[in-house]
Amino acid sequence: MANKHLEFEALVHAYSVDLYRYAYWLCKEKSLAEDIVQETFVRAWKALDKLKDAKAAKAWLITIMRREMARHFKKYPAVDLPLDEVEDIQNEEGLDSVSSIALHQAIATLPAEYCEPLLLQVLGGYSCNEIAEILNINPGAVMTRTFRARQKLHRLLGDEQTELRLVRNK
Amino acid sequence: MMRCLEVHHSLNTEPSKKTEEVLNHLKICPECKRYARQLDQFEHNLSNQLRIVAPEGLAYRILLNQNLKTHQHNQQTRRRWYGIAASIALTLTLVSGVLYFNQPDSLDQIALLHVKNEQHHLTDKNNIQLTALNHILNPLRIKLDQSIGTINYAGTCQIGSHRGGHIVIQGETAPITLLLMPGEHIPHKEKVKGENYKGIIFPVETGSIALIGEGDTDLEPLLNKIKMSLRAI
Repeated sequence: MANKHLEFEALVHAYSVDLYRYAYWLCKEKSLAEDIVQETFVRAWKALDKLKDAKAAKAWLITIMRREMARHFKKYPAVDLPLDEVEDIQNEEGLDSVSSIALHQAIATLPAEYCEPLLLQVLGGYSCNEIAEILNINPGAVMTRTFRARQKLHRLLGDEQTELRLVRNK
Repeated sequence: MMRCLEVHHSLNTEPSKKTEEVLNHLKICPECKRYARQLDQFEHNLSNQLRIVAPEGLAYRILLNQNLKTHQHNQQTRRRWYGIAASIALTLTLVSGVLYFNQPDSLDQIALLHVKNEQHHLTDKNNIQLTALNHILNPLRIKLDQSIGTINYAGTCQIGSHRGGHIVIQGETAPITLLLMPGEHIPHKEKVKGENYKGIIFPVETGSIALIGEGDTDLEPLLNKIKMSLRAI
């Protein structure tokens, strides 16, 4: 039992922040993100004996959190973050430039199917194959989605240099 | 050699993983190199934006929440165990009470009660012969080798928890009841004392035998006869 507590504590310290970020970008609500992370760890505690490989802990926690998120949105369908909350975000996150706010806003508008692989790649540092495993889709779909997610961000930011390059080459 | 379009696609798909082919292309294509640099800057900004500040004390709140839940769960489990223990204690008390109050009478009391309940057989005058008597006792796997007196009634009936033999013998002054109770064991010979009946009950190999008469009838001579004659088959 003492080992279980230590193991759990280590998981919380190692991954709670990443999970919070992941949850936040999917639900775009700070308090809800924290609730979901709390519930994720409650479930993780109950199922901790099933975690055989410590290296797989992060992916395991993400899977639990995604299920928790799906449960939540099934019960309470998601609503888009109103634009007037951007000011709050600016204050709370300390965004110091117009471009940062714009990027923040652009990420917030990404549909979950594009946002999730991007989060796993940038925040989680996972490869396309690993993301495919976590999201239970094929690696090709992951590549398409991460590509499209970035293109969408470039477009939303009006970043012609990075977006139009592809068009010119076609 | 990779084409520019393929390089751009690769850079936009998995920017942190630049393959050897991509790197070789970047070495010889200044335009793509510039593009890659722009994308790197974009990735840097993207990464910074995604890494929003987590609420202060998040990890400690999670651990606190878990500790509270575990404590709550332990309390519930303890309460559940107390509940189960209390239920078991109550059940045991009830069962012991029921067993105590429904405890069957001792064998001598059973025998006395049986004679009392079937006292109408005391007046029977059937004069049953030894062969007929043994025929009646046959299902009990018991027989008598010789006559033990005048038999006015013989039958089998439920005595206690087993089927036994009920025999009424003509005594010198009053009828005497002989109860053959296979399967009903007692440790030693005992006296049977009722309001109107008195007798003895004694163990045999296959169970017990009770001899019950009225008043102060001397049962010992008959008892000896029975002991001499009774056989298990």
